[in-house]
Amino acid sequence: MRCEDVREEFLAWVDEELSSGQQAAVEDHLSGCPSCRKELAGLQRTLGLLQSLPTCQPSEGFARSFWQRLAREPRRAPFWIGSFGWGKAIALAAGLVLCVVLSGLLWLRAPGEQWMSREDREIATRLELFQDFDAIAQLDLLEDMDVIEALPDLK
Amino acid sequence: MADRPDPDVELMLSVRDGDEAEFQKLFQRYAGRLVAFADRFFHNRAQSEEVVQEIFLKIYRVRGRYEQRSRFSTWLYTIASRTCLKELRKHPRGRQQCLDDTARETIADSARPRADEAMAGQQLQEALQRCLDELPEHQRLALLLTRFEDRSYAEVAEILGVSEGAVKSLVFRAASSLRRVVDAREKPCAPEERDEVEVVDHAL
Repeated sequence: MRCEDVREEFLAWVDEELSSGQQAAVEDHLSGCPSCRKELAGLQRTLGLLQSLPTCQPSEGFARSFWQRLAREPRRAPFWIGSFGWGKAIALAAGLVLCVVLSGLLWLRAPGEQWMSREDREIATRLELFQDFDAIAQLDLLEDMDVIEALPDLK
Repeated sequence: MADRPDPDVELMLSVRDGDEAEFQKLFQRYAGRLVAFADRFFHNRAQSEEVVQEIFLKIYRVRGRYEQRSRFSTWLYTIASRTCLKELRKHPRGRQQCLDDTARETIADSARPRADEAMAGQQLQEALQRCLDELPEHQRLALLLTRFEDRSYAEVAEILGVSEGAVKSLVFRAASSLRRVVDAREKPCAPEERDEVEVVDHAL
């Protein structure tokens, strides 16, 4: 390895960020190159000085002031608002209300049939019997086999 | 994604699911460290604390949308780095503004020859700090994150959105700049070398 290539790896070598092969190559070079060893020592001195720079500590009231600030934050929104955000959630809610109102209006525009299921409506249109209200009124009689047998039309 | 489960991710997932007590643990674990990190940009404790509070408020506000995509610390330092840089761009500080009054007096006094080693050490620290302040953003972040925050190159790569090779190059260039400052300050000031120191001083 050339000196300039090895020097570019110094920091990664110090940080143990090199692969074992790269690490061995740097160390091989260092063992035979006094100039690179001197360069590495200079780099390590710089890093040491960098570490000696003062480190700021938070003030005593820092955490307390944060929790007071957090207490003023709005509480958690329902999960579906959390997922969409307030703007979208309001638009979605308005859309749902509109759907409900429109469905109600359509339902009111079809009086008389809304209580029937599809199956009921089919029976109603196909069976003549269904349209014969006398027969319907005497429907119980149809379940009485004696009465049925006594009827001349059914014999 | 981390190979081992990240306990801080677990805490943040609990916060997302409504356990706000866990948020306190995350704050206690990281807030102090982040104040120190922010102060490397602002050199002002009150401003650094304000920025760190903003960072945690941001996290609290988006907690419902948190997803585990990386280590918690990677996510946190990504937010912190961006917030610090944004704040720094919003309120750019002159080099002199970065230093407190005592340091300013020291600089004003620096033209006089000094035998006192402690003072020389302080001057060297100030010179290093100024050099650090003037590094390009990515070089500075890469150096701060690796040297002071113990982040791995892989993590820094994720935070900066660059490759690991790029991180290696960024920290190398940043360290080389600092090295030049140290060399210039520590060489004995023979007349011909004093010029070199003055050139570096001027560049700072």
